Amino acid sequence: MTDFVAELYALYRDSLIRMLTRRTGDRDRAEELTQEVFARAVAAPPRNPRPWLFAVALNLVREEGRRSVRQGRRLELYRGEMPTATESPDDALIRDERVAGVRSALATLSDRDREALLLQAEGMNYDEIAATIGLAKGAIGTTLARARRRLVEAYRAKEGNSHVAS
Amino acid sequence: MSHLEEGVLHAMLDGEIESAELQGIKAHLAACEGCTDRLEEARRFRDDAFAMITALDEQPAVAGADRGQRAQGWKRLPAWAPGLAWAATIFAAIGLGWSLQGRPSAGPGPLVLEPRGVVAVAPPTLANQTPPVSTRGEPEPSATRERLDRQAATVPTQAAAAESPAPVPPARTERPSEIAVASASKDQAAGLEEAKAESRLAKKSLAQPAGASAEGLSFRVLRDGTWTAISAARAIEALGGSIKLIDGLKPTRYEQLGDLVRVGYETTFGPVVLEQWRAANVVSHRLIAPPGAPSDSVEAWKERVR
Repeated sequence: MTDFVAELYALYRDSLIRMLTRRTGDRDRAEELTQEVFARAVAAPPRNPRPWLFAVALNLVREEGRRSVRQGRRLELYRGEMPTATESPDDALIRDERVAGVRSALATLSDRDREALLLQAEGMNYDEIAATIGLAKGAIGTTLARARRRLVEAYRAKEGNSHVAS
Repeated sequence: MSHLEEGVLHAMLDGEIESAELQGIKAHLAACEGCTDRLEEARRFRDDAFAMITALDEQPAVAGADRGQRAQGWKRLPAWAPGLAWAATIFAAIGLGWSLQGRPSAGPGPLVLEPRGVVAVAPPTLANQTPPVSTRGEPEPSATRERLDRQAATVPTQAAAAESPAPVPPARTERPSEIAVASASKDQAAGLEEAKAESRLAKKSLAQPAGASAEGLSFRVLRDGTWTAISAARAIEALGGSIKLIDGLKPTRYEQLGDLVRVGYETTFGPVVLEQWRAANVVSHRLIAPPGAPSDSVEAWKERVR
């Protein structure tokens, strides 16, 4: 174990967990994947750590997705069954619906668009995003533009459908 | 003159356009109403999308539900203890060094959990506000960019990572811990120093309350109410006796909304806002730069926060 990786852990653990939680919708799984990422960093410490750590994390998520599709083990989470004690059921329902709506919209994006959005939301600049997802820096603006538009439009479409359904 | 591409407009909003190039873009915008409208539209998409992403953090109940459901029925998932942290990572790394040699992927077991249920109740309407640009997405110092250019080849890109998500130790005859230590070169030490600098923005964002990042979806939902103009003394009092300011700029207004206080400045690029809040006896802050402000100016403002 190196001090170097220990420092990286202190610097990026929370950011990785947050990004992975947003990506997977599962905080526990995000923590497990983060442990896996740092375990690999211990085995081979990266020289360009931030993009490396996030690239490995996103790759683990993609691997999981492919494996679960092959094995037919896709599960659903049903939100809102255990509201916290400090919030009203109505508040919990609204929150869960909002999160579900965003997650549903996010799922309509391509992996690359989704990852660019999530990385940008973690404060990465275009250089880092490009290094992480393997695009040219000059393509990041276009990628983010497309991703943002599609995300918002997908959400609005879902919102419209909800109005119709209700 | 051809119109500005949408990607350029978003790069401008993200502060990714350098000063020299920015002048030409601004000149075009000044003369082109169509591109100005598209810039406003891009800004709305950007702010709404960012607010939607941060809205995913509003899951305190879900986290509990996940744990409960997993404990009851999802036995196929690995039974890692919730508090498992650094010590476990050490052991995992040692095991990984031996077991992953030549293997492109992790072992079987993890499942992807994709919530699909969307209840037929209208979620809140996306905001049409056009707030200034958050600096969370602003570029890092040029030194970092240069390093990224130099070291880009060392990063596992999407395509490369698809085959091998992480490097593996070179030989089974070596002990993983020795490999790790031997690999921690001067380059890594330098990388760490720059990584610390890079992480400052991220660390700031970690201290932010959910939804405090943009005046879009989650921002409005979580902060129903109106910013109230207050005095400097009241702002200091609200933050527990101390306040952060941008050195060299003169505040033009102080505002408060609940536990949040923001200090406004007028600059040649537009209004700059230093939003701050007190948590655990520490005042955290976030600098909100005007759209289109050049990245070097934004960096200078951030460095002068005292």
